[in-house]
Amino acid sequence: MMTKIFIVVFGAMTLTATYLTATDVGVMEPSIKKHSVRQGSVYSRSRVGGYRRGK
Amino acid sequence: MAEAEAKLHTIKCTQCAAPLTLKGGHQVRSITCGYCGSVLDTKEEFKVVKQYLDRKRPPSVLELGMTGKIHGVEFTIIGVVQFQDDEYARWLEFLLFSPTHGYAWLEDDAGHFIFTRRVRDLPDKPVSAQRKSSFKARRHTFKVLEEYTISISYVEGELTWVAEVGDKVRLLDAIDPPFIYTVEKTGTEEEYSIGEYLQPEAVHEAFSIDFEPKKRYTVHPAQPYIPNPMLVAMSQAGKYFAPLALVIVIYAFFFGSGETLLRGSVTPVQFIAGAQSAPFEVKNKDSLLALHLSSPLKNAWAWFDVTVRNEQREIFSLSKQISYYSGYSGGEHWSEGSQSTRAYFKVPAAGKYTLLVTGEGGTGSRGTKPQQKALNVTVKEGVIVSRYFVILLALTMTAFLWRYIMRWRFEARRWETDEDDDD
Repeated sequence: MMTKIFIVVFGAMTLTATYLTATDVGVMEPSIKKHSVRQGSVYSRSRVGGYRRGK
Repeated sequence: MAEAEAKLHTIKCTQCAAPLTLKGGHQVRSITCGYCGSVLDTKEEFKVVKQYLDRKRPPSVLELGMTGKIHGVEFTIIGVVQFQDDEYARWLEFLLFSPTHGYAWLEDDAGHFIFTRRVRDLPDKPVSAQRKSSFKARRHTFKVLEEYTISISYVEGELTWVAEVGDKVRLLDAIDPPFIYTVEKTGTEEEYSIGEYLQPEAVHEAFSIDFEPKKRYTVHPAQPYIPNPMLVAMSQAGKYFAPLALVIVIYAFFFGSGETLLRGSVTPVQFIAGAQSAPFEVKNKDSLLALHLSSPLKNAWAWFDVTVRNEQREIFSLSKQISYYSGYSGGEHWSEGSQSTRAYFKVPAAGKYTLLVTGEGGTGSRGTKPQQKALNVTVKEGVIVSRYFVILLALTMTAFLWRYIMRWRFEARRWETDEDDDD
C-alpha cells in the first residue's frame, strides 16, 4: 500500500518535471533593457586588494 | 496429590529458611537463594557451598518463575547468571527449563534477547579466531565476530552447575543473523551453542509482559536488519522512477544540446561600439533557444548587453556578466567566477533574427578598460533543459538507495567492537 502511495507521488513528480521541461518553466531569462550596475569581483577586492591599493 | 507434588518442589533455604521453589528438573546442580545469597548444592543435601552478601539483583523485564512460550514450547525461568566482559559490559542470561524440551538460555542484553540452546553440531572445520573467517554448522555459514573472556558477576536461582561469582569462560562468537554460534571454552572443555535473536516484542508477548520493550540503542551482532516499511516502499517506488529519470537526463545530455544557428566572435573594440551578428533563422517559435557567451578572461570582468532583433524591432534583451579571477595566497590557489555564461529565451515567431552585442569591462578590480579577449557567441535552437529531471533523479535515486545506505550503516554498527572504538 505504501509502495503504491510512493509510486503515485513519484509519478506525479515525473509528470510535473515533464510539464516544466516541456514548457521551459523557470529557465528563460527575463528580458531587460539595460543592465543597471557594473560589477567586478566582490571576492577579489579583498584578495587582490585593488580598491585598497587605490587609497 | 497436587499438594504432595508442591511439597516436593519447595524447600527451605538451609541457610536462612526462605522458601525456595524447585522447578528445574533433575539436572539442576545448584540453587542460589535470592534472599541470603547462599549457593546450595542440590546433590549434597542442599549444603551451603558459597554465600554472596549485599548482592543487588540486576534489573530486567524477566524474572525467576516466569513462564513463556518460545517456538511453541513452554519454558519456565529457573535461574539467572549475570556475565561481564573485560570492558565491564554486563548482560543477563536466564536459564529456561521445559519438562519436555530440557534447558535453554534467554539472554537479555540491553533490550536485545537471544534464545540459545546447546548443540552437538560441531563446526565443519577448526574455528579460527580471525575476524570474519567463516565456517559451517547446522546448515548456516557463520562469520567469526570476536573471541573474548567473560566472568560471572551475579547468580540466582537454579543452575545446572555450581556457579561462582568470578568464574571465567572464554567465548568465541560467530554470526549469521539472526543466529549466533558460540564456542564456550572452560579449561579443557568446549561447548557449543546456537542462539537466535528474538524480537523484544515477541519476548514480551511470550512472557506476558504488558509494557512496551525498551528502546534499543545498540545493534546486537545477531540482530537481523529489519528495514523501516516506509524506506522499503520508497525504495520499491524509486526502483522504477530513478532509471526513468536517468534515461531522460542522459537523453537530454546527448540529444538536448540543440542545433547551432549562430557561431561567431566579437572583439572588444567591436562590442564597445556595438556589434551586430550575422542573421540566423529560427525554425520553430516554440523551441527553446540557448545563448552561450564565453571569453577567456583572467582577473577581469565584462558586462554584455545582448539584444535579439528581427527586421522590425527588438524582441528580447538581456545582460550577462563574465568575470573570472584567480590567484595564489595564504598557501592556496583560489578562483572565482566563470569564463562563460548562458541564457535561454524564445522568440515570438519563426524567422530571421540578429543579435546586437554591446559590452564593457575591466581588469583587476578598478580597471575600466576591457581585457583584450574576444567574446565567443553561440545560439542554439531546440535545447532541452534537464534540470527538473536532474532533481527528480536525485530524489528518486536517494529514495531507492536510502534503504541500502541504512542497511550498510546497520551492518557497520553490527561489526563495531570495543577494539574498533579504541582505534
